[in-house]
Amino acid sequence: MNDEELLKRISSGNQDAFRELYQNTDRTIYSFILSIVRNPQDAEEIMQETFLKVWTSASSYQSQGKPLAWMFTIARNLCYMRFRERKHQADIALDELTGEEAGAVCLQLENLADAMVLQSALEILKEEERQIVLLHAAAGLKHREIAANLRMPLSTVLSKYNRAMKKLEKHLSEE
Amino acid sequence: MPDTGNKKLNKDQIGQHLKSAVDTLTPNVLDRIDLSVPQDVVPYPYYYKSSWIHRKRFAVLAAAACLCILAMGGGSFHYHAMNRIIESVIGLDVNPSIELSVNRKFKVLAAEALNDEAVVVLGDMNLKGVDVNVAVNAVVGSMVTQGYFDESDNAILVTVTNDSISKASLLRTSIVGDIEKTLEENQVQAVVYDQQVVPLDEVKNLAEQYGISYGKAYFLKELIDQNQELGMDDMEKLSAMTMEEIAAEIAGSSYNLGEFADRKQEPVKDTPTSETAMTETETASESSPEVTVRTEETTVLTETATTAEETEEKVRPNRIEIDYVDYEDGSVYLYFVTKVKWKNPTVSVFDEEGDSYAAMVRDTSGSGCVIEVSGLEGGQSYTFVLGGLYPVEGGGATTITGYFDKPMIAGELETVDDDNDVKTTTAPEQQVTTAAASGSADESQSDTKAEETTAGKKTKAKEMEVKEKETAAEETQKNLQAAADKP
Repeated sequence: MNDEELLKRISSGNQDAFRELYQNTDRTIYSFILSIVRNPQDAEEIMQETFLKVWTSASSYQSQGKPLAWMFTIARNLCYMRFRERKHQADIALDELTGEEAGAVCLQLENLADAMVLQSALEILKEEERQIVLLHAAAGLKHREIAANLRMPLSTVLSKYNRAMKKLEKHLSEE
Repeated sequence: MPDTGNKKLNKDQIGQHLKSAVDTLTPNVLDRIDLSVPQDVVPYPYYYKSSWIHRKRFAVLAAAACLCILAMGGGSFHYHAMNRIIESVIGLDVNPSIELSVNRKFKVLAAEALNDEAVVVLGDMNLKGVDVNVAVNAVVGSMVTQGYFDESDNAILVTVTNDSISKASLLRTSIVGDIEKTLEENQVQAVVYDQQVVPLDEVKNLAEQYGISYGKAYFLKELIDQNQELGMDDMEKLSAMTMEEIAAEIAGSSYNLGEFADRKQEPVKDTPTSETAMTETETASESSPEVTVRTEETTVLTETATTAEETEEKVRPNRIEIDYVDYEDGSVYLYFVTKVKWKNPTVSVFDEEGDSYAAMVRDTSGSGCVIEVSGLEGGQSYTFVLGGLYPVEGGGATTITGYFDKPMIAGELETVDDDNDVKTTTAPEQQVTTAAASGSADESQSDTKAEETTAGKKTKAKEMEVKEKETAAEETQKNLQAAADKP
C-alpha cells in the first residue's frame, strides 16, 4: 500500500496504517527535520510532534500524489515555530541560535568519522543543501523524489547536491 | 582526523558516513505518539468544500462542457478559441524590455514594450500571428540595428514563462538557439542569460515596484538570493542597470550566479566542428521544438559524435572531465569535474554489441545532466556518447564518451531462475547466480557480474525465441546428463 492510501486510511482512524506510514517515512522525516534544526534533540521532539500532527490532521490532506511533501510542510512549520519560540525566549538571532547548537551531534555518535561528517554537513552547508544531501545520502530518496517533494527543479537538486558534496569533500580534507 | 585515518574521503564514503550517522540518530518515537488523541474532523465532505481549487475545477469542467457543445454545433470555434489563449510569455531584456505572449502553436498573440526604449525597438512592427522564432529574430535584429550590442560586454536575458517545465524547456532551447544565430549573423558577441520560470506573486510585485520586466525581476532576485553580500536594498540599484551593466557588475564582483551560471550561454563562432553541429540543429528548430529534440537524438548526434572527436585534440585546449556516473531507475546521472554549458545537447546509448537504445538528455546544469534511457537490460555495460556541451572556461562543442552498468535486480534474476526450472536448463553456473541474486543489487553486481550477464541475455533470448530455446534446453540437459554419466 502506498503512502497516499495509508493517509486515507489514517484519516478514518486506522492505527495500523499510521504505524506503517511511520515505518515507511521515519528516517526521511528525521533527516529532513535534522537538516533544518541541526540538533538531534530538537529533531527528535519535532519528529514526534510531526507524526502526531499527521495523525490528527490526516483528514485535511488533499490528495495530490505527494504525501511526503505534505509531511515536509508540517515538519518545516513545526521547525520554524520552534525557532520562533526560542528566538522569542532568548531574544537572539536565528542564525546564532542554530549555529550554536550544531555541535551537539558528536555527543550521540560513537563512530567519530560519522559524527565528523554529519557535523560538517550541518555546519558548513546551507539549509537547502543540507536538505538535499541528507534526504539523498541518509534517507535514500532519489534526486527526482527530492525535487518533487521540495518543489525544486531536478537540475537544481542535482547541482546543489553536487556542489554540497564537493564542499564537504574539501572541508573534510582540510580538517 | 579521527577514524578516517587522515585519508581524503570521497563522495561515496561521505554518503555512507552520513547514512550511518542518521541511522544511528533516528529515534523510534512511534510508541510516544498518543494515538488516543482525537483526529481533526473535516466538517463536510471534501467534494463540497468551497475552496478556490474546487471552484476552479468546476469552472474548468463547465467551460469544457460549453466548449464541447460549441464544438459540436459550431465547427472550429474551439480550435480558434484555444489558439487565443496565452500559453507562454517570452521576455527579452537588454535595456529595452519586451514581452511576447505566445499561444500553444507558438504564434505571437501580443508584443508588449515595457519601457520607452522598447517602444522604439518595436517601432511599427506588427508581430501578431507571427511565429515566435521569427518574432524573436525580428526584435533582436532591431536591437542590433539600434546599436544595443555595440559594446564589448553585451548581454541579453531571455525568460520563458510557462506552467509546463518541459514545454518551457523546449521553447527556451529553440529561442536561445535562434538568438545566438541572429547575433552570430550580425557578428555580435553577447552573453545570453536564459531562464525558465513560473509565475510568482512575489516576483510580480517586485517587477511592479521597480518598473522592470518579470524576467529581470526574477533574475535579480535569484542573484541577490545567491549572494550574501547582496541584499534587497541593492534591488533598486540593480534594477536601474541595463543587462550589460549587470553582466559587468557580476563579472567585476565575481558574484555567484547559482543556477544561472548553468544557463548562461555565450555564442560560439569558431571551429568547423561546432558550426556543423549548430547548423544541423538550428535547421531542425525552425519547424517546432518537438522536432528539434527528435532530430537531436538521431542525426545531429551522429554528426557531432564523429566530427567533434576528430578535431577535439587539435582545436580545443579545454577538455571536459567526467567526475562520476550513476545509474538509477531509468536515469543516468552524470557529473563533471569541469564546469560546462550546453547548446542543444544530444546523446546516444549503446550496449556492448552496438545496439542503440532510446535516450534523451533531460536536465542539464553546469555540473552535470540526467540522461533518460529506456529498454536497458540489467547486468550489462553500456556506452553513452554525449554532445552539445562546452567547457565554461572556453573551447568549442565537445563530445564525450562514458560508460555505466545497469545492475541486475533480484526480480530479474528470479525470472531467470524460474525460466531455468521450467525449461530444465539446470546448468550449475546459473544456480550459483541465482543464489547470489537473493542479496542486494550491489552485491550481485560486484560478485556475479559475468554470470548475471549470461543470465540476462538468456532471459531476453527466451522471450524472443521460446521454441528454439526449448529444443536447446533439451539438448543441454542431454549433454549435461551425458557429462554426468561419465566417470
